Amino acid sequence: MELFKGADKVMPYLNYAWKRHRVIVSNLANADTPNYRTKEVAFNLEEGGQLKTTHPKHFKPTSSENFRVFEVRKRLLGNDLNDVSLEEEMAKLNQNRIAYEVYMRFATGSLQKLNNVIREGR
Amino acid sequence: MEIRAVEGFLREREKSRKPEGGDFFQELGKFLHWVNKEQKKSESIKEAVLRGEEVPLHQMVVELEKASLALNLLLQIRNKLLEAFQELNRMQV
Amino acid sequence: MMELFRTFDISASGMRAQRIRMNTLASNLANFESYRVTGEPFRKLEPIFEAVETPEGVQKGYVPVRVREIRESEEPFRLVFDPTNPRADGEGFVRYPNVELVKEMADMISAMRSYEANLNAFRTTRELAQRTLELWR
Repeated sequence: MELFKGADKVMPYLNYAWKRHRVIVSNLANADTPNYRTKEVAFNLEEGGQLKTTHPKHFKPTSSENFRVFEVRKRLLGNDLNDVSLEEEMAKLNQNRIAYEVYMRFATGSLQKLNNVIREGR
Repeated sequence: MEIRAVEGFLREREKSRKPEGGDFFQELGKFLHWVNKEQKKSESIKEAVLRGEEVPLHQMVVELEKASLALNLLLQIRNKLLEAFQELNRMQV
Repeated sequence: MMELFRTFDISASGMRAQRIRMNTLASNLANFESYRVTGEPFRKLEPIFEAVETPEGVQKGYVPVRVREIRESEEPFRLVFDPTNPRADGEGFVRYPNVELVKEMADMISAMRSYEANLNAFRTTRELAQRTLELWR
């Protein structure tokens, strides 16, 4: 049954946005932790969420979600070897939140549409 | 002689028709199976949530919605089939 | 659902760490000129933050922070030349706690900002969860 194709197509994006939210929240919690490096989530949208391994030494994605958390390693470091930028993380948090809400609306919208058709618009 | 010919013709038609009817019920069976699978999936998600496993909220919501949608679809199809059957029943032969 | 609660935990750990930092800063400021019973000047307290990083947790995006310990600073004491002070040593210098007002105030502002950022993250998580539940009638 390919009834849920529309909803299923959005799911990887939704998973990604949720995981990214958690990573950003973690970054914010560690904004003043010595030796902490900013983390990000890698997600290759073009390959349907499949991560590319362009180098034999690259890690293969181990989780079924097909993305991976990695350290950004900016060159700009504070005294405490922490490279979290509070402002940047806040901006990312807000962007990501809107992206999540849009994806969520896509997913539930396509299901609601089906429900509407099934109920014949009643 | 002539009647037999018609009978033979009818039998021929029945034969050619049979796979068609079988197909429909086969599809219906597959559909029922699918609905059941969705229900089971939603049930297992519910259990996982109750057990305290790490199920993301959006996944839970979407899966439960899917299951209820599948059930709605099944109900609607059942209604339509019942209607069709009653329509046929009322028909005066 | 557990996952959602864990996300709240991350922000909560951040807020808790920052609050502990603010508390130590406040006590440092309060003891700006205090001495111990032994006559030794008060030593500045500083909380040591530590990220709870496990490979598994990182992949799940779960890296809370915790305060490993609150230790006494090894920074040198402030020396003020004041021969009339009863605490003055042979050369007329008085040792004061190693608390620097300006530094503590700057730290306080930084702690407050970080606390608010975590609070913001906490609220955002809550709103996301609420939106998700709203769409599920």
